[in-house]
Amino acid sequence: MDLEEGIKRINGTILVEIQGFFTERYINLCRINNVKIWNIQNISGGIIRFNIAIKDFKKLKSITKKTKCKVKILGKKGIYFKCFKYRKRRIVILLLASFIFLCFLSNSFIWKVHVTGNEYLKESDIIESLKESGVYVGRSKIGLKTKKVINNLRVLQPDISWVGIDIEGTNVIVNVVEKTKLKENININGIGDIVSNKCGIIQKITVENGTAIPSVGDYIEEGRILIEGKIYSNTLETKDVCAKGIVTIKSDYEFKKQYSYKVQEKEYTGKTKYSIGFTLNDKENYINYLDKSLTYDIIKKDSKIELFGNTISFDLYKFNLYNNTEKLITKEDILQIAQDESNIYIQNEILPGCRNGYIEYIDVVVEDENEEGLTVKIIYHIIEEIGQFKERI
Amino acid sequence: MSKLRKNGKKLFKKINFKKKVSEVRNRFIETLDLPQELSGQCVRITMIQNMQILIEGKNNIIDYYDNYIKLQAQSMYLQIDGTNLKIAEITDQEALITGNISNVGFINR
Repeated sequence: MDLEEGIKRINGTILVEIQGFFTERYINLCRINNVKIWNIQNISGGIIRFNIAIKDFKKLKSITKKTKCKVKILGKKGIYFKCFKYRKRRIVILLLASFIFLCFLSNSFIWKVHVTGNEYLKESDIIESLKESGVYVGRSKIGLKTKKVINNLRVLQPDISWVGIDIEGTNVIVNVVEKTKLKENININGIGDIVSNKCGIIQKITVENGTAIPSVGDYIEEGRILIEGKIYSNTLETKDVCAKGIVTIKSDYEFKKQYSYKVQEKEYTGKTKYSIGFTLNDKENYINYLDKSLTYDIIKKDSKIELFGNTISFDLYKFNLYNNTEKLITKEDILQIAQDESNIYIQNEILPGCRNGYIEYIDVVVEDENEEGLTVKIIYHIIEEIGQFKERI
Repeated sequence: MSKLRKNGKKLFKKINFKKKVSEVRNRFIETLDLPQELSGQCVRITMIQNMQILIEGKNNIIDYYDNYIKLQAQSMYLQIDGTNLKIAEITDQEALITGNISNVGFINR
């Protein structure tokens, strides 16, 4: 079945019954005259039924005359007949037409402007400039000249070196390439010293250029010169250079927290409640029929859509009822909890700020132990590289 | 002139050009090892189990009943027996018959 034939069938098909003596001849004549018929069924002697496309039905007239058969229409299917049936329901037709028109109309406007590729330029500034250039939420896509907008935007934002505007459906995606700014006031080859930016005990000093001031094992404080940008000589004059080198220190970081032997624990009752709601720009709204005296764990499943620059999500809430119970834990449990918490703290907060830092060893100290609880102090001894170049004025 | 025409027609009949042309065509196909259906005088029949039968080539329906269909397929008659036989599609070049086919037979014209 080719595409043309398929469209014919969608438009409308008729189930026809033929009654006569020459049904075989009728089928042959249909075949010869290029009248497409299908699903031919022999009901009884001299009666056949078949389907025919609405366009070919008129061609049956001459064949019927030739074979002296009787034609009966048994059924009608397809868009043409449906339209004919509902032709008097004007409101439905009007609503359908207005719906199609609204769909077309809503698709011809810009609903969202998305800016990508900006690093130091603010998105809000670019959107403001775009608005001045003629691209904003609510503007019609028809007649939008992107070249003109790009030129205007480059004039308004001189820090932009290249702009690309893509219109994808109702979204406008603005790709921006910013001008590279040269780092000012940094002169690495200038004369200066390496200064400590942390305090600790020096483990190792490797000097590339200049003279090391403290020696290994010394305790240094923040702001002290580690490598001086000077080369001293007994025979020659003192020479000012740019200090270079690596200084490794051992510094201590402390994690201290008070723990109680009594711990609150959630005990789920197994009772769950469900609710629905929606979130508009991070504001949650849901049908709340929960008992305020009870405690619930809330699990939220959402499906987001973006409309006119606003995020709307339709949410399904699941509330698990639980009771708070008190539980007694041992000192070993507290120490384990403290170690886990301190590990997370060190890995997330301290180590990312250390240059080539690693933990050498850990000290665990228990303080203020009494009947109610205790205080755990964990000291991390970290080996790291320090030093900051400071230009000499 | 009229005599010449008459003699020409007689000669044409005697030689039987139609037969000659078909013979030459068959020989040509045989020598080049081409498929037989290219001669245009063959019918290609494809069957899917006993549910469907597709007949490609010019064919006329001679008899059509619920349990028996007789087709004229080029130089022979094709007889299909079975139950619930339907002609699912029929065009100038092919016919698709569906149903429970029990027997397919050939009868020379």
